[in-house]
Amino acid sequence: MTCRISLCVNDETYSLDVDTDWTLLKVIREQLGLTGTKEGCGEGQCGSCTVLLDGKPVNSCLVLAVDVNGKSVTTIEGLAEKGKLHPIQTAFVEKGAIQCGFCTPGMILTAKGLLDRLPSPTEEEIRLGIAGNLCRCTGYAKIIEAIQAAAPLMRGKAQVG
Amino acid sequence: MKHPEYHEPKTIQEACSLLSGFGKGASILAGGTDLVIQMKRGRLRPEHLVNIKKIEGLDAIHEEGGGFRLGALAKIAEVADHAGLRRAFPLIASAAESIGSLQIRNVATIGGNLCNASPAADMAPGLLALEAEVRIAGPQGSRTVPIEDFFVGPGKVDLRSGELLAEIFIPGAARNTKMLFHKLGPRRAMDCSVVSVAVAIRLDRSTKRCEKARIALGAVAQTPVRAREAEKIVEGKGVDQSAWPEIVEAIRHEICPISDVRGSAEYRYETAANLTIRAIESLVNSLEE
Repeated sequence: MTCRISLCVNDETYSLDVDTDWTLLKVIREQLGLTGTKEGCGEGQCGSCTVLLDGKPVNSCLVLAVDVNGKSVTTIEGLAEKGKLHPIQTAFVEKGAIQCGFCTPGMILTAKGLLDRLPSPTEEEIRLGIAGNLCRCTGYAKIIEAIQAAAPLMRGKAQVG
Repeated sequence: MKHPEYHEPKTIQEACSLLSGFGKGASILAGGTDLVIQMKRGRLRPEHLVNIKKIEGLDAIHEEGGGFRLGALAKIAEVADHAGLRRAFPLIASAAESIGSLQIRNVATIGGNLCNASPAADMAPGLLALEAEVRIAGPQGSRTVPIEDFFVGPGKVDLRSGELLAEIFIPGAARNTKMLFHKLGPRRAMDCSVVSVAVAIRLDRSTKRCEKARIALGAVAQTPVRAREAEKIVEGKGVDQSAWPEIVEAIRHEICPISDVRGSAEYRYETAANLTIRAIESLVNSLEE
């Protein structure tokens, strides 16, 4: 069975025909060609498929496309504004929190979700917040530093914007 | 593989009618964090997906007569973040927090956790210790069942054809009730419990006597279980160290863990008893504060 869904991705609305057992991840990568979102485990364990669904981090490999009709998704491609990197992206670059880069899109979007909810997280809250995102390269230290560095920048952004 | 038919009932009646009609060929889509994995692994091949999230009112969390009513579709993240619920029943909030990751909690539902009926279901021990009830909606109307009777076996709950879990009701606890949930596992997130324990005890501050004890354990039997023998010992003999050996013995009688990849049966026997004692001790110490 095919269903037609309307989905807003990175501020653009799409009308898509999807099979009933397609995941949101499949739609993002294969129908929309947005390959920044990765498939690591396909089972919601690694977090590399993380996107923001109506502003909240979710594993897109576990969300069925038919289930997101009328909703809004942000992928990593949608984070930068007019070519300018988001403070979290800048912090990841500056702190050396990226090695192979595979976990990075999911990690950054989870960080955004976390900082939206907890603007001044403790290290403990950051560690628990990214518990659903695995990184095989960095050992997480720089990732945590990057999120700590980004937090005040995002608070500043919130005041200005 | 044939793709499933997809349905979005707008009312409980519509949902129950569809589920009745489709029988075993239908799966309920709530959060989907268990269902989608099972579909991907080929364990479940539903002919029909019945998405119940378009039914209004099944996700509300609100206070009622000192207790709380939770819609089955309340997300685990919402259960964890609800301030009033946390104040009234901190062990429910901490159980919710212990589940999965931020991403999982934003999608998974409390009803799904219960209906998936893993013996290690993290929302179960706390609800058992608080003597919660579940309201089940069906083609013939509603029925209410004590949560202890809802779990029938591994992966099995008391839902007949056409029925769905609508609500969980947690009755108000007496004011001097102390409660705690502990989940044992290698990580602080993303793990299935090796053993979990929920304790709710009503302690008299001055006499240290226990007026009421409820102890529930997860991942140590075919379903989450109440440790009734141990409860009686705590109520009769109190929480003093002298009662501990009997409590340990009672716990060991009342569970029947298996050996699996997460731990041996003997490890679970040992840790279930130890965690229960530690929980009781911790709650007694918190009385001093």
